[in-house]
Amino acid sequence: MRGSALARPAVAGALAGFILTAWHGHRDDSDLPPQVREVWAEKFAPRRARGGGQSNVDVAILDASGKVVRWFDSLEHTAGRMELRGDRVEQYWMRMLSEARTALELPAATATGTTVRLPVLQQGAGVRVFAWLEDPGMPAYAAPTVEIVPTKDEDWRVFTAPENATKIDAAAAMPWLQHVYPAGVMERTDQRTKYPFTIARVEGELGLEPAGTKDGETFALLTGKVTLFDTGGDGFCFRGDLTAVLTWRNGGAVPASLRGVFEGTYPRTGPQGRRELPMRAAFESLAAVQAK
Amino acid sequence: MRLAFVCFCLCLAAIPAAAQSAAAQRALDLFHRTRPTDDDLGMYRMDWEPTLAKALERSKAEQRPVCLVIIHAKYGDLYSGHC
Repeated sequence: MRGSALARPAVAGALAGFILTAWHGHRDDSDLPPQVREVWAEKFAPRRARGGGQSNVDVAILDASGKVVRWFDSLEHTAGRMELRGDRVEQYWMRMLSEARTALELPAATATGTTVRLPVLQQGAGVRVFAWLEDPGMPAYAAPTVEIVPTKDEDWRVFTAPENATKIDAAAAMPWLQHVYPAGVMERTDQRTKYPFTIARVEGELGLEPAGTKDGETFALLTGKVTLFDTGGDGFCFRGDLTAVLTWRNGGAVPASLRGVFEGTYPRTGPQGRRELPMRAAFESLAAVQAK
Repeated sequence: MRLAFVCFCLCLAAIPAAAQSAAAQRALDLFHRTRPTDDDLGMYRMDWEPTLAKALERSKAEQRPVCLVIIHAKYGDLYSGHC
């Protein structure tokens, strides 16, 4: 959905004026919001039989008082199958949202979504991490995850402006490297808890070398091969090259900025056998939106 | 002649620093080529609120409707994408 319906400018335009949010859980959860309870009461009603079944994601449109005005399955089902083609998904969502806007007595959508507003930090400093997997068989993985990682000065203690080329344990980059893993890879999910495995540790040696100065800023290049192990406990790992530029201002001990890239591969085993798929990430340091 | 020789030596001294900065520039170019573009981040064109509770609070205060994505799953963070 992040890479299909919700990524379409026309859909963003149709949702102009709406506040978007998401909720996840199971039917037996004790704290089901009333809106979810209402949708699922109808979705899972025994008599409700729709050709092609139903997906596990629904969209509920609520008015300003929180009342469910209408809801729809996130995917259209026709002739016994789910419609996954991007243009058909967009047409379906536009039809559903047009009906929702009418029900809410909103004017027809005319705009397409405009400015991208990424997650930000409300206080302190940190790193924004984008990560994505390039699997031709699953285009959804190509939609980047976006994680905001608050950091403290002590997380950067090892990263001081070098006078000469030096070596750093890649584990020092764990606060931000740990978010480099793909979304929704089913085979890397704990079958008991249903939670995906996350990154347990990072191994490797990084080189940090001076890279000049400019306008009062000191530059250094951080490079090296890293191996990321997940929490699956079976030795599963994937590898890649980290390339990043750090800067320091006015002789500060903590880097003023980080801009970097991870380029690696992620192994997946399926009917086609084992494949090494491109795994990518980008890192950019952040300062708080508002100083506290 | 002596001045030309001094200038030549100063230029030689400057070359290593310029080469190091070029390496940093290449790394920054790689970052700018790799970082997702607005087209890749289309879902962030919308007004997101990470939790339903906060979305309902704002909805009432601002008199705006809510689009609630309900995911039938134990785990999922649609906003960050790790789901």
